Amino acid sequence: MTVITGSGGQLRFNGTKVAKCKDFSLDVSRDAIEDTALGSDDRTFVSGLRGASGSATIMYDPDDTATKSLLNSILSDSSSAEQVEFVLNTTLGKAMKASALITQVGTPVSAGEIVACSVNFQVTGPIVGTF
Amino acid sequence: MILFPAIRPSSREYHPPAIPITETRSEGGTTFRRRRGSLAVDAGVSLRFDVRPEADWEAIEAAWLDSDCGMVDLELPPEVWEPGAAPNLPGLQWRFIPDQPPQKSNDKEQRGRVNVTVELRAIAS
Repeated sequence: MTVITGSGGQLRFNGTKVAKCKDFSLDVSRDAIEDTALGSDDRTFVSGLRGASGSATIMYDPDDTATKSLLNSILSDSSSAEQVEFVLNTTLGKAMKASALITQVGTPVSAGEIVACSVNFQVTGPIVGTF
Repeated sequence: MILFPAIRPSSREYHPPAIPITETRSEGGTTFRRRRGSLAVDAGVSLRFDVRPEADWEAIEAAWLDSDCGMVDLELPPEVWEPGAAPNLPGLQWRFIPDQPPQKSNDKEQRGRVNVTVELRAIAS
């Protein structure tokens, strides 16, 4: 068995591949709620709510529909979430799909460098998929 | 006698019984105290049970109802007093306080678990 690299990864926004995604990450966390009672010597916990957020760096391509749609969604007044799919590897078909709110878009522009936009996601609701 | 559920609380506040005393102050500033009995009464304990399963609340609620809402004596199991020992209260019996039933609170963060608070008083019966 071998490990996979990020070259097979893909970011999809509302079902369409974002053409030039440099990197992305998806962080899934779950709260730990303390339920230690009197007389215990060790803390005990039960699992709480699960949550996820993500980020991506996208090279700005004005001809790519998904890129423009994703970046412009921060400017939309809509309160509805977008469908974001974090594909770990296209060959293996490993992907995580979720509804997400675009919470931040950064557009650093420097002479002599490509324009790579940073995007942050806040996942709302469950994540569909497995590692 | 109703047996209180054997659940260890998350926190506990206890105050010992006291002999009823009335205090008056004269015009000259002298304080007079008069004993109103010979038995120390009204010990109290507040119990908080955090992040407990719903079944624990159901057991506490059942004890409340079985005690006729504070009319019947309670037997408190050792778990209630852990890691210490139950106080020695001769002549007193633990009861729910009639106008202070156990309370349950839910929090979305706790995924169906509950926080419960219970107030008990040890009275001469």
